[in-house]
Amino acid sequence: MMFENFFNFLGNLKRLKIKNLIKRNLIEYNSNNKNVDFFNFFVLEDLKLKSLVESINIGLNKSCLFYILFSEKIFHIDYLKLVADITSVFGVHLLIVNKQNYIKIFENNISFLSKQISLKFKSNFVDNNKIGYVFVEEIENPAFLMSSKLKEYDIVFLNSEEENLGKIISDVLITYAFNGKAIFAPSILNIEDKLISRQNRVISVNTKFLRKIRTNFASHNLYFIKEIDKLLEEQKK
Amino acid sequence: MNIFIGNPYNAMEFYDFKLILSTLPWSFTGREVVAGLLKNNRIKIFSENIENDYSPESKILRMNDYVFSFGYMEDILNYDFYFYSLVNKVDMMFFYLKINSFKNIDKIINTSISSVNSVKIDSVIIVENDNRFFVNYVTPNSTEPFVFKEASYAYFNLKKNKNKYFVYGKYYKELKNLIKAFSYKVIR
Repeated sequence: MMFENFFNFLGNLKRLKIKNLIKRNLIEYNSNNKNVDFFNFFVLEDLKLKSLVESINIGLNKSCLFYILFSEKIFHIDYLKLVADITSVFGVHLLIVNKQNYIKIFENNISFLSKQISLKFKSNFVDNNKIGYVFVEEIENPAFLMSSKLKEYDIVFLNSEEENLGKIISDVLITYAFNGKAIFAPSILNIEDKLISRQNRVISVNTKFLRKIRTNFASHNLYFIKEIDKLLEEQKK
Repeated sequence: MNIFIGNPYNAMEFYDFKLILSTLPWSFTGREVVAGLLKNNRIKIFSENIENDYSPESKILRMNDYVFSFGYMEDILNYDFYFYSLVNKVDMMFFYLKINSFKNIDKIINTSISSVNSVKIDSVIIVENDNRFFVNYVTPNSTEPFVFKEASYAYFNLKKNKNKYFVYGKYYKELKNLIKAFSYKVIR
């Protein structure tokens, strides 16, 4: 009993410290300069609490609601709970990318995504943009590409830096793909049209133009989809 | 199976072909040849001077155990067509594009290369501009695809690859469920 109380006390102290840190760093954020056509996200360097709060402050001024960290570190679940406390105060999404799994943090929910989990949990909406989480090993399967084409992603995050597979997925699905270092844009887009811009750690991509192109050139053919459904059932037998 | 693509006056050098695709009409009486006439963004299929009942909606032609699929401008950027050909066990895909300028043709071919790489079926892209005729041949390869660009005609021997199998694994169930959900969305 004694020890439990002691640890509770320590935890409360930590919370108090964080509360003070947030109070000190809360600033008024200007939502007038937001451009609806673009999706902005912030690439974090590490997950230290102080630098996290600071970088969220920088990002919110540039209207980033999505924060992403590529690292091979293994974080303890208690530490992730503290981080979730902070992000839910600001109301932002956080994604941690490992080789093995994705960790998705939003509104005090911490969920671990791995290859075995069904596709419907591997996507969510941020500001009307559909985001997908893809493991590079899955791209070799054509049925995976077809089923993720039906989901119509706007941007896709990859867990490994293989250039060949990043190019294939961005061309086939007509989406942007980001792997921590490079952004892949589909080859039918003109990159000179200022669709992608990168300032320090803030990356913004134009998704409205991308959606327009996708509906013009790659909208679904109902006849093909019905035939695929029939033929798949025949081949199973 | 021997296939010739190009205008018939180039075809005089070769013989023994079973399928010929061209933009100009040509008489084939007394020969066992299936001819495809590329006209007005569509393909008409003739065998022994009789127009075949090849349905333009299904876009699939079956002859002598071989299966071919024909795609046009609306299909080359759409992955639905490539997966549809894969499920139909197609041996070769043909694309016929009639264009006004060569400005964007490289971008279109580059996107097609990535899709061909994922389904692993050989494909031929035929481009027509001002009665000029170009053939691009794309073979899939995991690292770097082989592209044969802008030839005036092509003649090759296609062999059926019997050592190719595709297993969809756990995505079979996912794809079935997604198609079900998709068709509901359309009806509403």
